[in-house]
Amino acid sequence: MLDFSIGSAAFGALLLIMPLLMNIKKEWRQYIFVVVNIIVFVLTLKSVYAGILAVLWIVTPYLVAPLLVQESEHSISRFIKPLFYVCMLVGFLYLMHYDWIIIFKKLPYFAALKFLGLSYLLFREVDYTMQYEYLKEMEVRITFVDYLNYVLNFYTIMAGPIMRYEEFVTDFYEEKAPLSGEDVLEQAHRILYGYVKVYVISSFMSWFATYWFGRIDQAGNFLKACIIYLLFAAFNALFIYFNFVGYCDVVAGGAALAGMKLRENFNKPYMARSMSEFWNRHHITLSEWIRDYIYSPVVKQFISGPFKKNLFAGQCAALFVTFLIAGIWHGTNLNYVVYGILEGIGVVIASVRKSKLQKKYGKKGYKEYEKKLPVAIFEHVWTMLYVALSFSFVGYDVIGFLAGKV
Amino acid sequence: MDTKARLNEVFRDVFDDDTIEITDEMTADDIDDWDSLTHVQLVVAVEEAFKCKFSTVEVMKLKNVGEFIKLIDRKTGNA
Repeated sequence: MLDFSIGSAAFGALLLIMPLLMNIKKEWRQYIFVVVNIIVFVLTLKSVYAGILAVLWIVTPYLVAPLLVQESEHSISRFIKPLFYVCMLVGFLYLMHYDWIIIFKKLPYFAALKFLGLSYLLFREVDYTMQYEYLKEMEVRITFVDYLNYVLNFYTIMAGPIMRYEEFVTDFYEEKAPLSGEDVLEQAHRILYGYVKVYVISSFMSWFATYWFGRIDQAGNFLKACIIYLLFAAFNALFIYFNFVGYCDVVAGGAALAGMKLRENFNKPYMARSMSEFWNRHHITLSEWIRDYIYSPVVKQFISGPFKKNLFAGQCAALFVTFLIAGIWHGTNLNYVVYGILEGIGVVIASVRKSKLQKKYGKKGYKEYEKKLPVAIFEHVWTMLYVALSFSFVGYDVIGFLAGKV
Repeated sequence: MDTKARLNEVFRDVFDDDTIEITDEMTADDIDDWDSLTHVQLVVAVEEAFKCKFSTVEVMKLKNVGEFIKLIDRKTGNA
């Protein structure tokens, strides 16, 4: 089985080869890219059975998408659509093997059935099937080759950024001027700096985080333990940031050299002054995906149903549910459930605070209030602390640690 | 009352601002409180006012108020 992390020889070789391969002949680009994507994907498969399952997982949405188009109220799609998404969700939960969902605990688990980029494939497939009707209407190019390139794009299959089908295809076929020497140097610099972020800076942060996590036990008293926990949480949050932003730099730089533009996924997240703003700056493509495909339908249901009398409560409830789901998607153990709950609480607090302050000062007064230096400092510090605290459940078994103390 | 005038009333109601005058080119950047939260609230209010339903993707693809008006007209058969 091929190792395809960004530090692997295979990924490094493709970073160098792809810009050349993609420029052999313009008309062959999509075919060259699809062949490379399929080869990479097949070489990373753990077993033949995983291959069969992967083919089903990838091809089914392409075949089913036309059936999901809602042509009339009595259309069969009314039943197929919910059934299709429920099947996808159950399949995803089973393949990921969520260890806190009892029913999945009881079912046999075959690690060899997992395949590369399962989580991110789901996002792209949902986007493709949800947008299919619109794509047809707008006459966006849809072929099986383009679909495969979209879902299997080796630059983004591991951890995004989460492109949208229309965005990917439009960019892929867009006429672009050949890269100048300066452009190549700029992208090479981005790739190199990305590797430094992943393998130097984030490795240091990870070492410090692990070091402090192991020292919480030896703190002696509660206050010291809290300070050490905070140190661990801060280094872990920095590790997550540098690791992910570095990965995005590498894949975005590599894709740019091959003539593809990826979406930017970060916009100085630690400049955020609230958890809501943080999620508009951190992992932006995921935030937008969950806004469009989870938050919007959920809040719509809530404020036109159970929360009709209290729209704000409906929005808060939908925010909480959305971030809880996003948290659960991040990982399969209970730590990620807590992470989702904390993220949900964080964004709800931000919304309630903003609403209360706007009521107290009025809209203009609130803007003036936000300009005050002490307010800005308080909001920055609070947001950073809250991010660090909630992110401390990502990658470390904090629940297991706390359970051992009780 | 035409679609634009009726939609203007809905905007004023949702954003609690009687000075709003919508234009075809208007986007979320032109109204301070128009964020992802109020956007959905606006869509639900429009659905109620015009007695029609929008899909997630239809709403997602709207680029400005002009497109919103066209979508409403298409849904209500005024196009």
